[in-house]
Amino acid sequence: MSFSAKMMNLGMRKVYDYLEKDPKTNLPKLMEMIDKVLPESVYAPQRKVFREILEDQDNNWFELIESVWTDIDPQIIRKFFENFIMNANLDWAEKREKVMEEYHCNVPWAILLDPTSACNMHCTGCWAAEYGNRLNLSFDEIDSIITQGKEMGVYMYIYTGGEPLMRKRDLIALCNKHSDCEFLAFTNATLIDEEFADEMLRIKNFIPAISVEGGEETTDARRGKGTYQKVVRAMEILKRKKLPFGVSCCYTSQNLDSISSEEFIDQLVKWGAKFAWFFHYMPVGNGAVADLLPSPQQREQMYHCIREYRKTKPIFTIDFQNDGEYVGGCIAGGRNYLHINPNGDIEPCVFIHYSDSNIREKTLLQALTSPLFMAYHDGQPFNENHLRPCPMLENPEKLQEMVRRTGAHSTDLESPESAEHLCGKCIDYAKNWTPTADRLWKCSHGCAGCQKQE
Amino acid sequence: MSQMTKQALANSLKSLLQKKTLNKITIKDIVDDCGVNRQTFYYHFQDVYDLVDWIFHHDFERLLKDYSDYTSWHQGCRRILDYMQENRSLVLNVYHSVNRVQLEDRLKSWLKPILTSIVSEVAQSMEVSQENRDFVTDVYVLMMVGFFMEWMEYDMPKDKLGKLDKLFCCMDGSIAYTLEKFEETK
Repeated sequence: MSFSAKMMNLGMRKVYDYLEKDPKTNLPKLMEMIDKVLPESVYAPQRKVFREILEDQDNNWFELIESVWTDIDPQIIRKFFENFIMNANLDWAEKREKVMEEYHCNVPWAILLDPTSACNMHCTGCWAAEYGNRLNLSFDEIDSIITQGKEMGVYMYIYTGGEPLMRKRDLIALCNKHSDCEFLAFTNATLIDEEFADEMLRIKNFIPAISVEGGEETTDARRGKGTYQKVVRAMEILKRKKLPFGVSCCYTSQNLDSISSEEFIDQLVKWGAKFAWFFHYMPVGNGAVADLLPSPQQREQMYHCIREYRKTKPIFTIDFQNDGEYVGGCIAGGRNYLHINPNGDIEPCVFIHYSDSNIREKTLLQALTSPLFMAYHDGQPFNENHLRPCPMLENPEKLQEMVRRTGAHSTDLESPESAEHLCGKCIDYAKNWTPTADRLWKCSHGCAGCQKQE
Repeated sequence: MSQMTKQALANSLKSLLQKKTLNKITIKDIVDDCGVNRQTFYYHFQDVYDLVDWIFHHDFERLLKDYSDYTSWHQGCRRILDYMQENRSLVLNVYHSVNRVQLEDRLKSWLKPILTSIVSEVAQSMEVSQENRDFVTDVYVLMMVGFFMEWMEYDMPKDKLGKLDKLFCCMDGSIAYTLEKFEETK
């Protein structure tokens, strides 16, 4: 770390000490200080957003920030500040730039990986049910991925699966060893018990993102009787022990109404979730049906609902398919993240099961500079309209072309699917969504009609 | 179960220290000696120094359980000297490493509550502000810790017990004398 970075580091920690004492009073004071010290242009849009949040302390964002201080263990907040702000963002920015300059490739902000293909549940329609427990990344392999990642500044690791908590002892050991990283896991939450929650309190850098999809009836129908209550109980334990958690929801043509409803969001807040991540259903896999894809009307409904909740509800919501405008479109292919499956295949995205690199044969850096990842790097953004970000879902011809050109192979562990087959399922969807996407994009980017109304 | 694993890892480290210096000992050496895998080590400890910290914490607790009050702490200090001599290679390795502060912190966190209670006992009938009481406590804690640290600096010479008695002799009555200087005029 350079000298100025070290000073910055030290300064930020001091700032945090100050903030921790009385966030409600000190946060606005801090902002005033920052405004005096920094030139007008630095981080201007972010500062504007923050100022607006702080000026009127009755808004939902301020409510969220305050709730973090009242609901979550102070040592865990501090750890999050160090690992997430200082390491995963500030240190990352510095190291990443060097690697990018030298290799002209993407350097991710987060690495997603599947510790295991195993799951303790057998939900209808889930691929994990078919994979069984055959495939695992060993402790040493995950350890090596993280060690390599940290060298290029990646401090954010997100477990997918399978059910990551099938390997909970190894995950705790990894959190403990890499105490400068922040870990998150997509989990069905049924393996979170008092003992595991105590371990989370001990290591302080593990955050669950719990899968929920609507109410008791729909959940149990798909995932087995009693599942809903188990999930609710896990959240009760986490909340009682002052541990942070969020939820993740996959929306389909079937459950979209329930997931986008205000009752549902209010329930999430009541359970104590601090963030909610929404995922558009993807028709990935030979057995996946296109019927579950939301219609353009449904996706538009989601677009408006989430934007409304972001202005009113004390929970941090992202809809990865509709929020491309905040991150410049597709974030996969190592631009912000990549995915490693339990077979070690390094994939551009959790949903894109094609690869030309395996972690057992190549280093992370070699994968990032491989033809497939470079095709992502050179092709991004895949569309100027960030409501059509994905090279599969909204631009199916792009993925087909990239897979063909780079010779990447299907990594589906059960039944390899050709890019033509996969993208074929998206052609109609993409065509139908385009007019709506273009209208919404125009409206949010200064269309004459909307401005008049304001 | 987990206490037993931790103890086994601690024993392995202590036995490895007979042959190697602390900075040369890897996690792999420890788990190989102990017959467990790497993830078992990391489940319990972040690194070697985390294990060292646990050893001191655990051993001091056992050692000083009945020797931490007003009447018995002198005896507690003698037990620490004995312990350090018995675990010479561990203690001196840590003393000469970047983590010397672990030893200091361990000693401080044992001595501070004892001296705090002694100071507040002596100051009971005096008009001394809390701030000044804390200050006097810290001075005496530093004196005691300094005594131990210097002993390690000179490789733990054997004549130490006599000097420890002299140190207690210096302290005897001097806390009251020091506190008087901070007494507020009525």
